[in-house]
Amino acid sequence: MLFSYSQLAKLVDLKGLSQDEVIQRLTFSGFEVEGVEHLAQASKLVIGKILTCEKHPDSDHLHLLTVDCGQEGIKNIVCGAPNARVGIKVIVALEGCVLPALSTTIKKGKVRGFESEGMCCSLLELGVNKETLPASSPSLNGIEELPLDAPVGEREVLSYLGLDDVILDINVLPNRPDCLSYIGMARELASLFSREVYPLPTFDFSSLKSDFSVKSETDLCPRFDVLKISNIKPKEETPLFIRRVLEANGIRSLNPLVDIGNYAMLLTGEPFNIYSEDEKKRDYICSDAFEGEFNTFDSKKLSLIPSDLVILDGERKPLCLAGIMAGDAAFVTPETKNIAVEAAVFYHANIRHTSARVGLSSPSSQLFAKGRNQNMIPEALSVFITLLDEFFLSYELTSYASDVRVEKHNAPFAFSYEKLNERLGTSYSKEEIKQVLDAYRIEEKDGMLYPPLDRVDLLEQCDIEEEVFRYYPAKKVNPSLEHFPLSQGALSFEQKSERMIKRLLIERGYDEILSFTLISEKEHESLAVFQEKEPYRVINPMTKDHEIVRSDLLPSMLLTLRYNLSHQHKNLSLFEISPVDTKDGTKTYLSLGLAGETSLTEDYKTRPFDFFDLKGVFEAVMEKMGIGENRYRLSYTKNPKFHPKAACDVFLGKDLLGTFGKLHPSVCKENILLAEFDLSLLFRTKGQKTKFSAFSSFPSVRRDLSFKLVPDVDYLNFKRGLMKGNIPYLADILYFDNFLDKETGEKYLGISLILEKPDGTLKEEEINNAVKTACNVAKQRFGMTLKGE
Amino acid sequence: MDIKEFDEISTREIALAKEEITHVDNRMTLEQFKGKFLGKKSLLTSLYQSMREVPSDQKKDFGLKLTEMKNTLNGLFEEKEEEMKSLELSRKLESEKIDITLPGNHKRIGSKHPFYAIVDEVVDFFVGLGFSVASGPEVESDYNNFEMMNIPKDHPARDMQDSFSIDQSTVLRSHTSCVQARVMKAMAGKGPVKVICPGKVYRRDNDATHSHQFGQIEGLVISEDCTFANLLETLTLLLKHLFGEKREVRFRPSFFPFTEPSVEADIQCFECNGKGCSLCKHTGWIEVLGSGMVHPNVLRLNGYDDKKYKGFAFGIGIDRVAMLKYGIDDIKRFYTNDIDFIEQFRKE
Repeated sequence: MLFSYSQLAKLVDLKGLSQDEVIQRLTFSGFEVEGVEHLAQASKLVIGKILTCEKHPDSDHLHLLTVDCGQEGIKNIVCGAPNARVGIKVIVALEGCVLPALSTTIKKGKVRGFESEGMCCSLLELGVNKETLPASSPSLNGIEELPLDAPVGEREVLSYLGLDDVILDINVLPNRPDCLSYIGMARELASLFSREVYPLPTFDFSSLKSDFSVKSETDLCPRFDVLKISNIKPKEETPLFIRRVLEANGIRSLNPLVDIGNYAMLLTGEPFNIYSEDEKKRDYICSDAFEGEFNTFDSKKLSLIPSDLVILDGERKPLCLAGIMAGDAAFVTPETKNIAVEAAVFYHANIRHTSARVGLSSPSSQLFAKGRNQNMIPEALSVFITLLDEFFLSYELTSYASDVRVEKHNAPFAFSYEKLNERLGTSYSKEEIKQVLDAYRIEEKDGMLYPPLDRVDLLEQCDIEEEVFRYYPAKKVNPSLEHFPLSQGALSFEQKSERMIKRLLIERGYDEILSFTLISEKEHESLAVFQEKEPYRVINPMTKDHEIVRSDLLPSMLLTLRYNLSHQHKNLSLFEISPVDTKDGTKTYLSLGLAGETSLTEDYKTRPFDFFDLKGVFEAVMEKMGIGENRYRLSYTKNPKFHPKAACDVFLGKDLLGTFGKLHPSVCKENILLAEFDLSLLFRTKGQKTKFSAFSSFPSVRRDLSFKLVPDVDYLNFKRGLMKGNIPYLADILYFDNFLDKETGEKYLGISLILEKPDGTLKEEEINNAVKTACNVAKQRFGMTLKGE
Repeated sequence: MDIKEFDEISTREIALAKEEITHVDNRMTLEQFKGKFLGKKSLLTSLYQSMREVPSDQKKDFGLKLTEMKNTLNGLFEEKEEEMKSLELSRKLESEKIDITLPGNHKRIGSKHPFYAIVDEVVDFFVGLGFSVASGPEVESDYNNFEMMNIPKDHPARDMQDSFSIDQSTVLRSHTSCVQARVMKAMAGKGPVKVICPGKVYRRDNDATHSHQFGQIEGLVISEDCTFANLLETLTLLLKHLFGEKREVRFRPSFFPFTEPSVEADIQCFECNGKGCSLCKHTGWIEVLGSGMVHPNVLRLNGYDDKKYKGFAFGIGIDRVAMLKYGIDDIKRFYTNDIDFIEQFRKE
């Protein structure tokens, strides 16, 4: 909320305090001052009177003025304002005057051959906000014209204009609705600086007669007061100092009858609604059961539903959309003579919901939405009454009625000085704490605390702890780990495994990405490995691009690859690990994406990424997880989005662990390879424990053999067949190449037999025998013969 | 031949050898030298053969003289041979010279995303302080997300415009505090709890400085006697860990529905070191963190006896910390995933 510093200083004694001190104290007691703005700024001004005014001979708009500036003397000024003329009183910026609004300093100089010793100013040139000026202000089209009685030679021009003020933008947090008012903020300042709030008026409402009825029909309006004033005669205009406060808060001054409501609201934090009673005297009802049409004062038609709070007259006709907008039935005009002033509390959530639904908001609705304190209504109305003299030449307080439907009292609560220090880890003395209680007008009786009426946020011990922390510098709490509980910190198996996989991928050249959880319908349908019946859908999306909670990571991966491909990145290897929420629960998936070429380690040559780049990473992950190749099964993928012969599904038992490989050409024409794995499933699968086993210390022998491939035999089958073929000394089979004889068109599979003898060195005949057996097995079981055979 | 004659012959031969060795400059001439002075047809060999004719009483003297001569000649040969070997080796090495300024053979290393670089750094810090790491679903009950965090039904934060709804009672979590509700439920009113919850959160924010998705790390400690002073120390250590030992930290009172007292932490501005600049809005300080003592209401709502247990909680924005720490200009960069962006964090 914006606060005029000089208005605050009228409510609380701030003498001897600098603005900086006040700002610092507020900021460190939970009221961050987010902005400091001067209403106007200028250093060397004087009030002058134009003595002569002639047209500049070489210009069609400039005037040559002589201006009487009192003891500053008579100045020659060249002025371009169309309203410059003899006799008016003006604001003169003298030589050396700094005008921050124009980022300039006034200098003596010649303007088209004539000397100019200063400048006549508009209010805008002094930095006054254009929005706050009335449409009739001469400053909008020329220089400011001061009243005829303005004292010529006066140097304190900003003070004369009521513009020597500073506006503080104070962030009032939601637990302090009382400070959304000048009086509330003044009370807070009084507490913080041990100062006094200047006495506030009280009014004896029982002295007024009560010749009408006021009724709240709903607990959503716990208190409803109406004060009637008749035969009012408003002043010509609202006093300047009040207009300045309204301006400071961004409210345009209209006429005394509107301005009094706004000004009283700023002071008290209580929104007032004013009804015209010129037509007839009325009873007032607050209802939450009205249903039907409602016309606002500016002729907008709204259709209201039950739960909207409405003020009705005795015949149940709607007068006002409570707390939000006046209706057209009892709307006040500058000529209104008899008024009824409503001060009530409406439940914040209903005001918020209605305001949002009908799309109307006002300073009142914004205040009500933050919660108002019904116990402050008498004080607010008393302040309103004392303000009447500022706005009206004459008036009569006629009558008053009030309906308190729900009583609300600040309940006392138990408080312990020791517990405060225990919880904060501090050593405030009892006196120090007591000082805070006194500053905040909190009474202590028999170990119980009684908070004052205006504070709705003091409910239990911890709220006092906050007040004490706020009151003293934060340094009074000495940061320490004394009493901090000891415990063992560690990552879980899943968290460690996830990190291990990330590290492995990054070392292998994959970049990590982070994509949006909310995706579009189109992306959702583009492709997926883990098919979900129905994904979660957001019912209030901000755009169609982000409305589905993704159930698969691949749409985002494909999008990211394509984004980078279209931004001059040709070679990409990316990964993402993310939890995914589906109706079956939360799972963690890993997605991989490859596009373009891989850099090889030698000769600085590259080749296109292929299926085996993904398979290599997959195998490395499985190896690190301790899951051997006999534990999982690969088969050509059944996923229609992938290439049926260059992509595979991986199964752990019956469960799909993931899919990887090339995309189907109908999905993607670029050389893009994708993979996705269910890490939750992987982490549930028990890996082999690390255990030492003895190994042969005799050298092993390797024999490379090239077999002619026959259709339908794949490497893994062939390898397993040989391993089970009782070949003596066979320890392992390794792949070394696939070879195509270009002359014959025949394909060959190159494998290495690894032969080991546990208790000695292999002899040549033993080796030959093993190779021979292997060839026999290959021939008999697979029909595969050695190259050249 | 007597000794004297032999000496003369020997001296002449050695002088000749010394002269000739200076002309030896390759393997061939070295071999020729060897044949001439040490080979079968050499004077030395013939002198050995004439030993037979030497009277036996002089044999010993002759023998010694001969050996001396042989050693001298052999020495000349070996010295030259050694010299030549080392010359050849250095020629060979020279021919094997490589350009050590060519780039090394290595595969490109990938980069962590800066978002996760911060997550890992914060997680490591807290594991060191004895915390564990909890996670929970992002599609969360409105009960866990709001109610249990002391944000009742009619609270403004629960209006539709602030969070994404899945249905009447389910939202996309708007903070990671809901994981704390799950942790407290799992602990069934027992302490101590020391946990952090990193993760993605979602709000219907849509302006230049906000993204509808961003990251938070929230922490929760519950024990019988932890204090507000513990909280301030934990945060001071964390912020110095993240932003450097020398970075000043200050605390300001604040308000959150789930903590009381509440406090915000500021760190000294990086750009201006506290002098005031546009980054810190001329205050010299940058707000980085919100925290406080767990509100007794939250303890009670989540099954803890608030007379027995105390707690503190804090939350830090992952994107915000990364932006400050690395000087990233726009939160949207995190989610665009341009490789030019991600590659810059290879070191992290």
